[in-house]
Amino acid sequence: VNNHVRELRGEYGWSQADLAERLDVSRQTVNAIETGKYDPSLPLAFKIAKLFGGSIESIFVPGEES
Amino acid sequence: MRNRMQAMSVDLDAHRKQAEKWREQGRDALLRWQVHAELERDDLLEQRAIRKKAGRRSLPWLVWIALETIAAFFLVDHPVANFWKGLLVALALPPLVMLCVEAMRALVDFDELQRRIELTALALTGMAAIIALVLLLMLQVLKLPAPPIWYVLLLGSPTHTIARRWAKRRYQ
Repeated sequence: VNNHVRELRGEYGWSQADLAERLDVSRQTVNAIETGKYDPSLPLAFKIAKLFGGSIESIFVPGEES
Repeated sequence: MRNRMQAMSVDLDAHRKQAEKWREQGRDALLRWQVHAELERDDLLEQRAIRKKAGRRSLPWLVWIALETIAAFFLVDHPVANFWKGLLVALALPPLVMLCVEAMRALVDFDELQRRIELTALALTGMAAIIALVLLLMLQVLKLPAPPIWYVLLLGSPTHTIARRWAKRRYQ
């Protein structure tokens, strides 16, 4: 799953630590989500969508199937 | 001659620019490394705090198990009724269960990625322990020289550390 978390975070001018604090997760988790190495759980995806005022599908995009 | 001097000057400028570019890249790399190391340290401190809390809560149970182990070694060479030996084994159950409960609490305190890393590490450690146990049992069944079964417990901690590092690396 690809996502636009990094771009959105940049628009808001937040650091990874800022976003992690707002989502109540570790910075490591935010970094892993941004680099696409970790797909968040559904509750966390909802939290991210709510924080950025968008829908899950506007932030998380299905990656190409191999 | 003049053309040659001009060419040399251009070459020198190019070299100077290249050297400056490398210096800048080096500075950037160093800065990135410093920031990365600092962030890593913060992450580690956060996780260590959770582990320390779990460690403090587990301490009484660990002391209980240590005392039971000492008592067990003491009872081995003494003629005591099997009932007391059985009771000693049964009394080891509550602290063991409580240690599991504390481990679960620590897992709940972690965020979802850290929890996944811990669970992956635990699964890998469990699989390694099963493999080691089966091999030990086979050695014992075939009556070949085999190390005591509790050696598997000693292998648990380093295996878990390696497995956790590997799992963490996957998400970095």
